[in-house]
This record gives sequence, structure tokens and C-alpha cells, in this order.
Amino acid sequence: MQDTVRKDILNVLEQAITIWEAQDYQALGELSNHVIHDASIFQDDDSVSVAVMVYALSKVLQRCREQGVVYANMGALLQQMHDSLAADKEDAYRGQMRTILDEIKKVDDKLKLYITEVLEKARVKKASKMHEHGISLARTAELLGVSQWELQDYIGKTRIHEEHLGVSAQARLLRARKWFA
Amino acid sequence: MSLIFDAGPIISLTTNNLLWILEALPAKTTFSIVSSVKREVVDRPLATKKFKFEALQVERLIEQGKLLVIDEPAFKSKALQFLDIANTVFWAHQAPIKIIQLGEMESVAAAVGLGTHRVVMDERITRSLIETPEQLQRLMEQRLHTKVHMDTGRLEEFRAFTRHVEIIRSAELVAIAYEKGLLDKFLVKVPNARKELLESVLWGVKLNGCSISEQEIAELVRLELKNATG
Repeated sequence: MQDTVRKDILNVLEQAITIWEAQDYQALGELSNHVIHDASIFQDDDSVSVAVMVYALSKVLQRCREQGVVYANMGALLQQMHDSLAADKEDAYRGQMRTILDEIKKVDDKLKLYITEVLEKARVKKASKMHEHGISLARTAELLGVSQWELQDYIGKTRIHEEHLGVSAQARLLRARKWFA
Repeated sequence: MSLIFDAGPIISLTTNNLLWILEALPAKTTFSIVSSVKREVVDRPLATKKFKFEALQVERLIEQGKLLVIDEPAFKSKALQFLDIANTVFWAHQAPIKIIQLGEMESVAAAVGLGTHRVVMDERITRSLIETPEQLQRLMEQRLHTKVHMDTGRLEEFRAFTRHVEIIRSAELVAIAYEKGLLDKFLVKVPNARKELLESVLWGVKLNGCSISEQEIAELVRLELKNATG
């Protein structure tokens, strides 16, 4: 794992533990964007996974709160992940990442919160963020394991495309007219 | 004339029930996709439940011979070569930023290899790398909050390969369909019916992923209405 990535993930995990204890799902959702820069530059599984996990946790927390359910175990799992990474035990850290994602799926079984859907949405949401940061749609879809159909459907409803890139619409229309003259 | 489609416009047109435009446009034009795009727009959704019907519509067009599938090893090989170049143009923290994917590069390589140089692509990052890489560099620096270095040597290699490539989007394609009267069957008795119709299809493709801004839609509508009166 790159040193920059490791430091940033440790920082995010520290904040995630505090925010999870405070039960602030909005802050967790925002925090998931903090590793998007690393995910966009290094495109490593660790940055991508932690962004998806933190976003999915924010949704778990939100839905648990809406249903009046307390789910306490996640804070301890986050702490274990942090400690493993701080001790340079990357294999253990990645194993714990798998555990926490499995735990998120188990919450779905127990509470019928459709968390599997939440994980899928988390991937689409984080893919759209990476696209916003300058990575192509197909590349982000590939990195996050989502379909381009799903991603286009989501991105089309955001304001990402309001930022103009490339030649003007007029130039493109003239080009199209020439092609179909 | 041959146009190479990336996955994006096929998805935008299909999800708007506008794929039939490809059948209705002049017969002298051929439309093609590369095999990796076919995997994304047909094979993959056919293996799932969501977007399966959309995939069937694309497959139908392929089976009818209206949409050709290119599976040419030479284009793939060229695509791999230029994918490596494209993905080492921008650097941050001493690492190359891999901005595009093989399917996108393969569409461009096929357009160059066939000598048509005409691509339909809704995706803005690959388009910008070909057309306005400096804009893309600025966007990345703003979004990533870090200095993004551009390797001008790599960029020049990429530009030499793609210098004749011209790109339109699904938005321009539906504007042409509108100009040619292919959408007239949807004109209804509402005020400014033609303007409403054009806006509706342009917003349709935008909301389903075509990278076009609200301002550009207004511009296309203005140009089309001016064209009709002028």
C-alpha cells in the first residue's frame, strides 16, 4: 500500500470511529469523499473499498436510526481495522475490511434494510465521484464493478455535466450536419 | 460513411427509446461498435435482470445488421498501445492517473484504423483528452486539490494518433434526427410544439448520461430553431 494512501485511510478511519460513536450519518457520508482523491489518483482497491465501506456505513446508520435500531458492533470493527493498518498488518486490515462488508450484509438479513442494494448504490455513488474528478465513465465503472448502464443513469441526474469540457455544441452540430448532409 | 459508437450513446439512446433512429437515418451510413462495447451494452446486461430488455433491443439491431460489431485484433492491439499512452499523460504524486478504459480507446482505434475518424461518444473525459487536454488537466487539479503534471511527450504521441478523430454525442445525433423530420410523429398540439419536442429528446439523453450541459441544450435548441426559420 502506498504510504500516502495508508496515512489517508488511517485518518479516515479515525474520523469514522468518532463519527460512528456520535451516530452522525451525514458526516459519515461526507467523510467517504475524503478518500476519493486517492482512489482517483492511485486507483487502488484499498482507497476504493474504504470509500464504498464508509458510504455504506452512513446508509446503515441512517436506516438504523430511522427504524430505532442500535447497531453497536461496527465501531469495534472500525477500531480493529485502524489498529491493524497502524501496525502495518495489511493482510489483517484487508481481512477485517471483508468482515465489515459481510457484517453490513448481515444487517440486511436481520433488519431487512436492503443493505445489498445500499452497497451497490455506494459503488455507483463513489464511481460518479471519481468520474467527477476526471476519470472516464467506463474506467470508474470498471474500478467499482458497476455497469455503465447503472452509472450513466445515476450521473445523468447529477450536475457533473454542467461543467463544460471539449469543443462547443455548435461545432459538434456543424460536424454532425456535415456527416449527415 | 461509417460511425463508431462508444457504449455511452447506445445506452443513452436505448434508455430513451430512441435506438430506432439508427434504423431511420440514411442507409448510406453504417453504424458500428467494437466487441468490448458489445460486451458492455449487450452481453453483460443480458446476464442480469436490470437493463436486460434494453440489451435485447441492441442485440436485435446487431442481428438485423443495422449495428455492426468490429472484432479486429489489429485495432485491439493499437488500442492497448494507445491506452498505455493515454493513461500516462497525467501524473499526480509521482503516479500516472489512469483516466480511460480499453473499450473507449478501442472505439477510437477502430475509427482511426478504418479511416473514418468519426466517433459518437457521450463520455466527456475521453473526448476532452482528445480535444482539450489542457481543460482536463485544469479540471483534475481543481477536483483533486493537487498539482497534476501533464507529460507533453506522451500527449503529443496520443495527439498524433487521434489528430483526425472527430466526435459527436447522442445529443447531436438526435438533433440531426429532429432536423430530418424523423421525430415529427411525436409532434403534438402544445404551444411551441417543435421546440418542446427537441428539448424533450435532448433532456432525455442528458438525464440518461449524455455529457451535455443545460447551457449547451439551450444552444442546440436555439441553433435548430434558427436553422428552421432561416
